[in-house]
Amino acid sequence: MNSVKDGFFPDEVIFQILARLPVKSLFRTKTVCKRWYRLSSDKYFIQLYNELSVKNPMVLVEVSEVSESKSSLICVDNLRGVSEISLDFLNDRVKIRASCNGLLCCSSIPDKGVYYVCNPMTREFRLLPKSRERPVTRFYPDGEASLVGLACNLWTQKFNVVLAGCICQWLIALVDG
Amino acid sequence: MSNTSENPNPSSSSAKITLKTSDNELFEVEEAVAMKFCTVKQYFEDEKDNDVAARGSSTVIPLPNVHSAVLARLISYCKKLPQSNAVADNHEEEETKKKERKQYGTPGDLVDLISAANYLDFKEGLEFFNQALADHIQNKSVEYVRKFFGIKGDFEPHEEEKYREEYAWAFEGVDED
Repeated sequence: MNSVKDGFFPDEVIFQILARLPVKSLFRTKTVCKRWYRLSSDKYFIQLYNELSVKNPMVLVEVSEVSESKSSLICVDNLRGVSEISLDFLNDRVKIRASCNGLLCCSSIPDKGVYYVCNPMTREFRLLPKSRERPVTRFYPDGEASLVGLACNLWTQKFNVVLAGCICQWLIALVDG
Repeated sequence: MSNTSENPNPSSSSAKITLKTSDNELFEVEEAVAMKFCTVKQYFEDEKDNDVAARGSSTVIPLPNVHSAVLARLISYCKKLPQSNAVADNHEEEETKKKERKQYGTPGDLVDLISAANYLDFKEGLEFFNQALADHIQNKSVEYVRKFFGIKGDFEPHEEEKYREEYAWAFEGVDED
């Protein structure tokens, strides 16, 4: 096997190679050395990675069996085929409420009012700060938001979550980690 | 010895440019092909400005960082442009493209091709070969990638262990080295 001397490729070339790896490989490759770790965590790199991956959109399909309460998620990747993915890393039973730019907003089924924003590919997630206690109303007796929206501002790389119930509405801004 | 890039239409009087590789081989290539290499283009334009007395096609452009074997491959790749970088539409097409990317040489050759394309500032070629290298390493272990690039892992063992635990999913299902 040929091997290249360390530092053979300039940063820009390393950026371009790593940006063409699938997420899983990228996260593995981060441990090759500190330089690669630093490069693959760079803001410029993340932007480059996102720009390239937009060319290969994926579709997430939720398959639920009528007889079973549990549903499974299937990821349809144009280039790499179909694979099953799981949100088990959240350690909670959740329902997907919204998606945007690869992130999902999920609500906990057992704990009303508990929301997560997660990246199912990297298995990273944030628990949203609990909104103020909502009065139980006769319209929404379980205190569940009826509308959940997730929006992304590509310019600022910030995500917004909007939850709307019958009378209350508020915004939570999250910085994409 | 001189390698002449074939002109499919002899009646078209496209200008030729002579490139001289690190091993002193001369390549006479069509101007359109040579101009894909921005480094050559820059050199050519500077020459023109410096010497208006039209030394023209007799100018030999030295490429001290590119070996003839590599340049020959880059030129043959140039002729397949521009369709090769288009994003595949589906899984099957992607597999075909992957095979096509493999045909340009061994993984070790790719390193030379990328270095040369980077030196020549040949954008399409860089994209193509970077993708080919990404294809090659995407299912490989960290140890393989280190060996391939001649990189020494510089994380403390406990740092690496911690990362591997945190991102255990990224280390599953790796090809045998």
